[in-house]
Amino acid sequence: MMGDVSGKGTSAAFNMSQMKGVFHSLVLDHPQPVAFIRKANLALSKCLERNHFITAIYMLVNTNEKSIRYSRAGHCPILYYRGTTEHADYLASEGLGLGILRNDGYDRYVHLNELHWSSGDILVLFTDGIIEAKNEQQEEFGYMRLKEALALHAGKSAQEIQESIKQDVYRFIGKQQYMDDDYTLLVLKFN
Amino acid sequence: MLAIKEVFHADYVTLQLSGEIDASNSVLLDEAIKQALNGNHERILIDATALTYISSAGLGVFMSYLEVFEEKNIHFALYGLTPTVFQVFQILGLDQLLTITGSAEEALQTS
Repeated sequence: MMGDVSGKGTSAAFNMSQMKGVFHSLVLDHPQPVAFIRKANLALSKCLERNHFITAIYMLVNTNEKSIRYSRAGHCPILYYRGTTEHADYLASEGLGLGILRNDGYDRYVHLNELHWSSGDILVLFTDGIIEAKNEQQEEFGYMRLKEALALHAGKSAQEIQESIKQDVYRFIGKQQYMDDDYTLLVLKFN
Repeated sequence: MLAIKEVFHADYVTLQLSGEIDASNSVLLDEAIKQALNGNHERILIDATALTYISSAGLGVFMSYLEVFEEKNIHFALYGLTPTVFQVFQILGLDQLLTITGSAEEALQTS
């Protein structure tokens, strides 16, 4: 899974530790993605300040069936590269961030998605720190450049892809710029 | 840098936003919405035509008023978002809970 808390500094760090506690407790019951997201929303709604929220993607990977079942709660969409078509794109899925609706009304915004992988496919999870990295001209790295970078580096190993994308982001923002935000980047390559 | 201008109409108020909303200035947006609520306006419109960026702190402000708008039966709508700003609302899923339209006319018609 991947998650991101809104805000920065002490309050964000505090919310993140609460989030990790909630997530670690919930996975003990091996819930399906929809149940996990709904329960996480109820639990986090009781501890987050009213103007704070958390985004997450929870995935269950079944290596026997070569399938992934997942639910997205307002987090950046999954970037997926298909080895057969050599094409990368974002997987469209509906969802709503955790802590935005703090009652049962949230449940209807949680959806189950499923995908099947083939050898050579690549799945990328990331946080908005990557997308919103800005260069000197205040231009964002953006979704398009990330997609192009994945297609360009697809022949490499998962670790090399991660490293190459990071280098692309740093090259884009330029030597004079610092990353404004923290970022996380996870690359899975299927054999 | 964020600038907020209040434009009062006969039966609604428009908050014109220009610049960027981030953690350092989201409190200004919060105050502007609070003030509009105190003014007992039944309709509050946000003109986001000149809004170039919104961080999670800005989204959090809109989010924190969802219940208040519902309880007080206030028509709240945003219009004129750039595709990049709209995408931020969309990815979080807030576009499902807030009224977001292209123009002020459309935003008024949705009430």
